[in-house]
Amino acid sequence: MSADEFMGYARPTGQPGIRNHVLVVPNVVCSATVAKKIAERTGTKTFYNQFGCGHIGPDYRFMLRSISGLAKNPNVAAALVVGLGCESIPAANMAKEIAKTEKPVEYLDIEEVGGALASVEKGVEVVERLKADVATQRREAFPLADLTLGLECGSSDAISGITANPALGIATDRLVEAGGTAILPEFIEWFGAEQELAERFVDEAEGQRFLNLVAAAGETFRQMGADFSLIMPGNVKGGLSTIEEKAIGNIHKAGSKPIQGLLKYATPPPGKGLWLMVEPGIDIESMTGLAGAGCQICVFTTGRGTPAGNLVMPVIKVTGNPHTYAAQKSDIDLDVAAIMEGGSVEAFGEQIFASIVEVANGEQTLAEEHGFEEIAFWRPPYIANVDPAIKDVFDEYLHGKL
Amino acid sequence: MKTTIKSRRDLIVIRSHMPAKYLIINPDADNVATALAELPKNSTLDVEVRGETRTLTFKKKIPFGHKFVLEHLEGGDEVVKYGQVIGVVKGRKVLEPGDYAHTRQIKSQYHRTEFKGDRGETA
Repeated sequence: MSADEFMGYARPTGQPGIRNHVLVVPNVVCSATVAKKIAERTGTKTFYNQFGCGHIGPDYRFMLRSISGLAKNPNVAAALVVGLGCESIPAANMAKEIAKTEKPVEYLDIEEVGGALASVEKGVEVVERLKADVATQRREAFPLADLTLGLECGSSDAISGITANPALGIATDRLVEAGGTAILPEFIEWFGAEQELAERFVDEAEGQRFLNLVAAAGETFRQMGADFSLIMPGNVKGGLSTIEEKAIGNIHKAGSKPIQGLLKYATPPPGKGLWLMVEPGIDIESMTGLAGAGCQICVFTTGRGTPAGNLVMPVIKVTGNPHTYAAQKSDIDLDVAAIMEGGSVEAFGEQIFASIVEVANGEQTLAEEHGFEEIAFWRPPYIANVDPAIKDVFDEYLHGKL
Repeated sequence: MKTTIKSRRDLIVIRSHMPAKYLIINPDADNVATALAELPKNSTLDVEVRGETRTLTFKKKIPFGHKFVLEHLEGGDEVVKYGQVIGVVKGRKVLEPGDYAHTRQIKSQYHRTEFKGDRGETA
């Protein structure tokens, strides 16, 4: 393996994985506990899916994409979809969507198999078979250009914008220079910095479309009677006073490269380089969308600390706040607070980049070690009473073709 | 340290020489500084403002990560950090160097990008 490579698992299509998980997908809330029991007995991964039924029209496509995205993530080697049998998104459709990646995928319906207990037994049998297939796979060398990095930040303080975020920006630039891909989610965090981002779009018209989306989101908030002081109490405690201050600090994570375009939630980018993703800005929903977009790895900068991880995508947590690191060492992988004592941002950026490669090669993050595997799907607003033109813009970015 | 900031890379060079107790991210343009340690009430600190060393007295405690102003500012004046406007001074407030600048003293003046109601045409 050379310096510009990492050791990953080959997949039949698309990018290689950095983990080799077998995922038990609860197709609907009604099958979530059966899925949990199967995963517990087989030592595999699952999550509690609160949704999966009653989805119609655009919402059907949105949830199909979001749930299947987790199984389509390159870190998942094989999947079993556990359905009830009567839900609006049939397990067969979910499995068919996942099978577009050509990875092994099977499904069962509790109503077909003959009840929950029989389904657990059947599921365990299927998963043991999938596990045996997957166990023979070995890591191989791949170019760093095959990595997609998610850029998350949460519980930001005024220190994030001067330490951890610019250091992550250096690492993002390094990956993009190596031919890789990075995705910046969270549109609420763009309010106040949208002009600067729009100017970085490679395609000017796409930059205008992006501004229009931010404007539509803003107009929606206005019609809901909300103001724009959308910073959270923790942000204020951390010293951030305004949304502009937060946004300008936040977008440092995305480095300095041109922006290729805007992605729908949980949608893999159609090319390499730096992308933005539509998602409001809630950490766990955002990382679920990043995993659904095919990010094999995520770096999460946090001012005030968080235990958050992701089920299928390793999350490296970085803080530039020495007090946060001292208090929450068990949650934070990297401490870059020395930047404040004159440490070079470049050097810490290189350290973050080196950590990305180490974790890609198999080193466990703290969240993985401790089993923090949060999943939450964004539920976009389906607003009936807003200006049809706003709805139109939202629909395009939530459900339309790219 | 006089540098015209053109890119994030330039910003980063400046950051590599951070003093211990405070940081002025863009020394040419910023009129607030970030406390890199808690600055106690009534304490003093020598701060370099545009090449000139000034001794500031903090009338209020400045918590770690929070901001204090570097020059006389009045209601409506722009507050500049990162070389960019992050808000304005509230109402008829008058702030002197060393005064705390947070949500009681300054406010967002974020103007939404105006929504024109059709795709691709944005003010």
